[in-house]
Formats: sequence, C-alpha cells, structure tokens
Amino acid sequence: MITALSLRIDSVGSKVRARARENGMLANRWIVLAAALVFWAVYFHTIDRVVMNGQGLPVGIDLMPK
Amino acid sequence: MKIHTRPEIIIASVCVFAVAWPDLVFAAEQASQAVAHAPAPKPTRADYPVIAGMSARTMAWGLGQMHLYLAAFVLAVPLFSICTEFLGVITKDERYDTMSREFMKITMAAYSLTALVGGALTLALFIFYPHLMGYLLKVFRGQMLIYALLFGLESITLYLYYYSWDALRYGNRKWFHMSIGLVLNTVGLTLMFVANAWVAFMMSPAGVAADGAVTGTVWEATRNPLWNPLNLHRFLANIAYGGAIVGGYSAYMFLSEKDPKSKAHYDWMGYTSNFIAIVGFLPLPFAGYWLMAEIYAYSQQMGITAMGGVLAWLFIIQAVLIGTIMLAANYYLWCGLMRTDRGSQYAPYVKYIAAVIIAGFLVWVTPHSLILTPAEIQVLGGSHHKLLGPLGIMPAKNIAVNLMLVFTFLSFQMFYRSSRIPTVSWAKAGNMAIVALYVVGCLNIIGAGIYGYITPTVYKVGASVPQVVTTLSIIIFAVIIDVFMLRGAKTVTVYWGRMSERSQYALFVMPIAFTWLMGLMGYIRSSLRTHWHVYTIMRDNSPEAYIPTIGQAGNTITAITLAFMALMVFVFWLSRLGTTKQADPHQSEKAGRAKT
Repeated sequence: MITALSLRIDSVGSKVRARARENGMLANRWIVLAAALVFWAVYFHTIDRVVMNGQGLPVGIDLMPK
Repeated sequence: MKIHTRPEIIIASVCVFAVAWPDLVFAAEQASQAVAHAPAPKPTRADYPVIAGMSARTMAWGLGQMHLYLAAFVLAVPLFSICTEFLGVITKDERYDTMSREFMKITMAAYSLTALVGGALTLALFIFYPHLMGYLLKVFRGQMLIYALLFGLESITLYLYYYSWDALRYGNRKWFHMSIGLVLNTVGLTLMFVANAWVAFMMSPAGVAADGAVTGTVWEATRNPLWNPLNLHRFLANIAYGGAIVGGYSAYMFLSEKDPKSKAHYDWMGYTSNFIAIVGFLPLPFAGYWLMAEIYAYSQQMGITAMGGVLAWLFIIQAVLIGTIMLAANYYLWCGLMRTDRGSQYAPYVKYIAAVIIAGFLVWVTPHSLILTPAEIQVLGGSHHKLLGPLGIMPAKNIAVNLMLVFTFLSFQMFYRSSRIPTVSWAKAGNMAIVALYVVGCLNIIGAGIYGYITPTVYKVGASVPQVVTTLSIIIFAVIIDVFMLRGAKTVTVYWGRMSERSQYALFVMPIAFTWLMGLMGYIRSSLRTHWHVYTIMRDNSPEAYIPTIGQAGNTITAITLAFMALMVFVFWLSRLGTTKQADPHQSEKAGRAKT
C-alpha cells in the first residue's frame, strides 16, 4: 500500500517536473502558489505578533490578547 | 574635488546646526535672562489693533495659508529635482536633466511670490498680534535671525542652482552642480524645520513654565512634543504636493502644445510627476496617524477636540478629498496603459481595482454618528445605523485606506509591467509569489481590521500598526521581486504622447484636491489650540478667539484655494511665455520677397 502510494507520488512528481521543464519553470506554478501562500501567511502572522508585542500588547499564538 | 566640497560642508554644517546654534551664540544672553524671566503676556481685547474693520484672523489665515502653499511647493520641487537630475547622470538619459531643469523653472517663477506673501504675512502678524509675536521672539530669541539668514542662503543657492545648470552640465561639473542642489535642499529643509518648531510650540509648548516664563533653552522649545511628527508629515506632504503641482503644469503644457515631440515630453513629465506625487502620498496617512497619536499623547483634550467633536466632520471631507486624489491618480495610470501595445492585456483587471478603490472610498466617507431628527432616530432605533454604523469607526476605515493604497500601487505596477516582458526562467513562479503576496497581505489587512472589532480599544488602536506594516511589506516585496524578475527583460516601446486628453484633467484634479485638503487640515490643526495663542500658556483675547464654524472655514479655505490655483495658472503661463519666441517679421518679409 505504502509502496504503491509512494510510486504514485513519484509518478505525479515526475510529471510535474517534466511539465515544469517544458514550461521553462523551476516548478509547477500551482505548487509555487501554494508554497508562497504558506510562506506569506507565516510571514504576516509573525510580523503581526512581533508588532503587537512591540507595542506592549501581549498576544497569544492566535493573536488574541493574553 | 576636495576644493569643491569644502565650502559646501561648511554651509551644510551651518544649516544642520542652525536650529541649535542660537544656544551657543546667545548663551550669555540666556544666562542673564534665566535669572529674571517674565511670564507670558496677557493682552486684553484693547491690545489687538483694529485697522479699518478688517478681520485680523482672516487676513493672517489667508496670507499664512497662501505662504504655506507656495513654500511647500518651492521647497519640495528642488527635493525631487535633484533626484531626477541624479537619475539622469546614472542612466545617462538627457530627458531627466531637461525635466529637472523645467521643474526648477516653475519653482523660480513661484519663488518671488513665496517671499512676497511671506513678507506680507510677517507684517500682518506683527501688526495684528504684536504681543504674541513679541513672546515668540522671546522664546526663540536669535533663531528668528537664523531663519532670516537661512532665507537669504536659500535664495542664493536656488538662483545658483538654476542659473548654473547649463554651465555645469557634464562631467565633474555636474557633480558640483548637484552638490549645490544638495546645499539648497539642506537649507530649505532646515528652514521648514525651524518654522515648524514655532507652529508646533504654539500647540505643545516646551521649555517654558506654566505661566509662560522662559525656563529652557531655544533647543528645548524647538524640540517640543509635536515638532518631529509635524516635520515628517510636512516633508512627505510637500513632496506629494510638489509632484501634484508639476503634474498640473505638465497637463497644462500637454494640452497647449501641438508638436508631437513636445507632447511626448510633457506626457512623460506628467507621468513622472504623478509618480512622485504617489510616492510622497503613500506613506502620508501613516505620518498623519503618528501626528494624531502624538497629539492624543500630548493632550487627550486636544485629540478629542480634533476627532471627537464637530471638527470630526472635516475628516469625512478629508476622506472625500483623499478618495478623489486616489481615484484621479489611478485613473491617470489606467489611461496610461494605452501608451503600450501590451497595455490592453491589463485592461480587464482595471474594473476590479476600481471596485476596491470605490468601495474603500465609500467606507471612508461613512460617518459614525449621523445628524438626525428625533423621528429619524426613532425609525433607526438609535443614532447609529445598524449596517453602516460599524463602517464609521476606525477599524473599517483602516482596512479601506490600506487596501486603497495597496491597489493604487498595483495600478502603478501594472503600468510598469506593460512595457516589460520578463525573460527569466522563473517568471511564472515569480508572478505566483507576487499574487500570493497580494492575496495574503490583503487578507491580513482585513483580518487585522476585524480583529479591531473584537478586542479592547487599546488592541483596536494597536492593530492598525500591523496593517501599515502589511501595506509597506506588500509594496517593498513586490518591488524586490519585480526588480529581480525584470532584470534583462524585453522592453516594449512606450509611445509617450499617446494619451487621451481627458486623462490630463486627472492631473489637474490632483493639485486642486491637495490644495483644498491642505487648507482644510491646516484649519483643524490650528483650531486645536481653541482660545489659546500658545496652548495653555498664552490666551487669545482677541474678538476672534473662537473656532470658526465649518461653513465659514469652508468658504475661507475655498477662496484661498481658488486664489492659489489662479496664481499657479499665472505661474504656468509665465513659464510657457518664457519659452515662446515671436517670429522675426523681417525674416517673413524676406521670405515673401524671395517667393515673389
């Protein structure tokens, strides 16, 4: 089961890589979009917390007042 | 090079330390004054001269506002003129140099008017408010002489900078010319900072005792709590204002010229001016926010007078005017898409940007408290509308203004990209990263606004800072990604001059809205002192010691705005007249004879 799944993932991965090569891209654009969405979400969440704490307003991980 | 830089360093040092210098020069004088200092004067109504029934306040107001408009313009233009001149040297593009010189040409025409109105203002202040001026002279002592000295230096460097343009155009001489510009800007900025100190002192006095007796140094009075927020706000506003005025000049010239080459030049100049105005304008709300926060921190009473009372309605008018500026700037950028053949590709996105800007504009102009009749209150079930009420408070307005700024930047980015095709292998991935940046950034701005609704007031106010940081992050990261992505990009021809005539009217709207806005906000800032010349220190006992009604203020500001715009049209016309040459009648006679 696991082997079949890993083969499947590998096959999808190779297709993505092949398409990326054809398009002259580093990776598939949708993967880049997903990764960028996560990256910016983490960035803005961190910035929000740092800025709020910097103003002397303690917040938790959910940004709600402590 | 060493020989060139020495006098500049000396002049620049004098300018930089001008604010603190009087402390050294008048140290001995201060020592004697510190022993016997008198309280602030308490003039009675009889101490305010009445001349031919004239309204002293309206006169000082009109002249002060007019001087501020002109001074803001003549101080701002050299600031960006030197930047565009520097760009010309770096890019070796002559157009920048020609444009910078033309910027300065308009300034020269306005400079003598600035001095003239400034002189009239000084006279009016000393005639109508002698006690106040006497007191300010006592507080700031020799600084006023330094101001006069700086003004002289400003005139010399301004004339030197303009008239040496062609004599110092190439090679090392160009660098020397730019260093004259640098001295000019240093002097100009110092002048503004010194004048700001007096105005800020009247709002948040420092270096004096509760009875107004001078206890501190000139520097202490200068570095009062509102000085730096005012400095930053005026510095940015001047750049935006100067950009908008030269944009108006470019539009005037674009519409007047018939020659396609000249039209192309003024179209490019208009685009650059609009860009300068936007660059100055984008951080302005944040500087304004800081100024307002400092006003609240200095005196909560003063803050409430500004935003909690009748003056709060003027912030709604402010929103209308800022919305107008944003719509005009964006409209101009959208029209600019027609300058390239690829521009039409971006046209489908314009309607979405317009929707966001108009929605933001509507949220911004929605008041929290409505002026209602008892019957209307009964129908509504309260003084606040159930749906529109929440849009009237700051979290909603913060979302609106930040999104409007982000989407204005997007309009600019679209135009910039319409003339460049990226050639790097990761272009599509880069685009996705930018799309994600905008999506997550906008969601964060909206989220932080909603967060303001569900948290206590202190968090509500605090949440506006991450919104500002988000807006700036979007702009900075989008620029960084674009810079790398468009390296070695294939450029597409930009047909400068291929622009609709109606787009030029957007460039006219901007200076008018800016002028009106400056007058309006100046009225608020000045009104915050209520019945005080110097807040809580020296009382205003003149017959006009009250806050003018909004209607009266509106009429006065509109009249001043109209007068200033008429003056600007005269300046534009004068600049155009300077380049107009009459055809030689003898030559046409000769040509006629040759034909026959």
